Amino acid sequence: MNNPEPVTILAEDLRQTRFIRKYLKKRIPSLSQRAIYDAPMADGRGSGAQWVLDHYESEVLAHLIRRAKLPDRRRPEKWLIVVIDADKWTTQERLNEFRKRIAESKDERVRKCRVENDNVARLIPKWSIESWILNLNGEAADEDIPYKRQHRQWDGLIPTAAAELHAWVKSEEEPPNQCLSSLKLGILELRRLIA
Amino acid sequence: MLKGYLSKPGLGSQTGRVAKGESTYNPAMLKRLYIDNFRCFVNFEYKPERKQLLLGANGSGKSSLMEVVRKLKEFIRGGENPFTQSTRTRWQDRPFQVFEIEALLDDQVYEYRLEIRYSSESKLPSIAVETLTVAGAPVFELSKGEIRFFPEEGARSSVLRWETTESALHLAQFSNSSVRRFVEWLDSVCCFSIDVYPGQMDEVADTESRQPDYELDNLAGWYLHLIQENPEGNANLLASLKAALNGFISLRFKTEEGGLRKLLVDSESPAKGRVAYTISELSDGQRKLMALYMILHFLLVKGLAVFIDEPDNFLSLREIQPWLLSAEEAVDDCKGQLILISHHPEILNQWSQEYGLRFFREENGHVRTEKFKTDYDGVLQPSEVIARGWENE
Repeated sequence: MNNPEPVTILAEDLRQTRFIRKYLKKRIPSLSQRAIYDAPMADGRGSGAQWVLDHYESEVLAHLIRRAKLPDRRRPEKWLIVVIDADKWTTQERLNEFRKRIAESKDERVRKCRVENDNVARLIPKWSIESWILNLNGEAADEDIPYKRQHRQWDGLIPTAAAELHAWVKSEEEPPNQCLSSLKLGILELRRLIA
Repeated sequence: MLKGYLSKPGLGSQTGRVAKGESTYNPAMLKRLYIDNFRCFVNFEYKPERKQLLLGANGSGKSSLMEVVRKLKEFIRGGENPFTQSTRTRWQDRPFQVFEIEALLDDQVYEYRLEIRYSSESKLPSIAVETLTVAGAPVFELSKGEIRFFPEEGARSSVLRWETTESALHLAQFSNSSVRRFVEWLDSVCCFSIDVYPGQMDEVADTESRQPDYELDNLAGWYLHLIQENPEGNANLLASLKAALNGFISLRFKTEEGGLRKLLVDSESPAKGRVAYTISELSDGQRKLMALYMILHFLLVKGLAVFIDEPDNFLSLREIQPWLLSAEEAVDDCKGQLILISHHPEILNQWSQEYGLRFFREENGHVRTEKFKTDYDGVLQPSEVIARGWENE
């Protein structure tokens, strides 16, 4: 397997990027830290979700420009992983917002692109990434409960969650019954990424 | 964009006024540098602009380029030859090193060429060729063990047998004003890698220093010289430091026992009142700011050529842009030359698009350069492109 260097992660906060980095290391053990790049994040005071939505189009455009510059054989290797919490919205509503940003782009290359075919994965945990982390650690998790502000050792739960996510993505079977529905969609997105 | 920023009211007073149009030198410019068989440079040609940002990965040769300029200055000044066997390119087997400098001085093209020959029999290299031409005509020539002088005013050239391991150019500067012009100009080209580590900068001036050192460790001695030579530059320096350093009042010398003069920084705060600090009591960043504004107000406003390696080190983010914009203004107004080496996002974003020259080494071979360009205009900042490693795809 080739290394998709560097993978770009556009995420709301550090917890999301740490989770995705851990997952990527499980999926591709030879991937170095320098092969993964965190796009700039919001400063923590504003809305991280809004930041991701606002930068989604430019990151997709940068991804397309970069892929277009590369010879065909290297193109599949480049990944863009976008993470946004669904929060009070549904996963579909967030997905629609992403699609709207693409459809309304001033750049024709973006409007014409089909991100599904361009190694762009959109991960939309409902309620938030913490819901996925609990779910992947085998704990009961409800997508309608915001766990973000609960005092847990979230960083300590990330390695197990990332390893479990890798196992579920790698498996060719349906994710287990306890898998949250937003996570199921996320798994499908990650399975689409071709290295 | 930069001009627009400069024209915003108030910025001038924040950064201190830059004395304009006061160049004591006629327009001068380093136009070309050629290096062959020195460290990672093989058949390398560099044509600097008035303003240039050298960027590229660690080990791509940016600082080594500045090292060549420093060594050539040192060499032409006379004294011990700074070029040694160990400076030859590791993977080359040729016994010659070649350096060429092309400068535009007073609207005339000066071309200097140096060939150094190494042999296995001698530790010391010999000077095979050293020549200087002005507008294509020779004004000095050393080759085949002979020096040829070209005196002015129609006098006949004279020849002298001369085997040497050092530069002989300076010998001709008293008989030929063109040689003197070139030697003095090259001596005025400044290279800096400012070392603000505590204790590195002398806070006591035992003598005046006419020239700043590479690491500016003679800051006090240089400042002692400058305040007498250029009081207006000093006033502008103090205005800049007032804007940049919280509580700064002024700089002054205090005479110590034995006549030594210690450079003090007068400062005041509501809590402590007026306090005089020595240079070593300042923070690294404060010392760096002092050094950078001295370079701005005493060198760039003279229209000199200045190289600075990583001017942004130790500076707070707030201070980089005001200094950079003031420096750019000084270069524009005074027709100087400013070559920066930097990895800092602020400097990359400000300068790389217009003035960026990317250094790179394919397969760790010799240095190559290309004008920095990005295919991500309006999509990603240059610093973002570089941080992702996408600039060289």
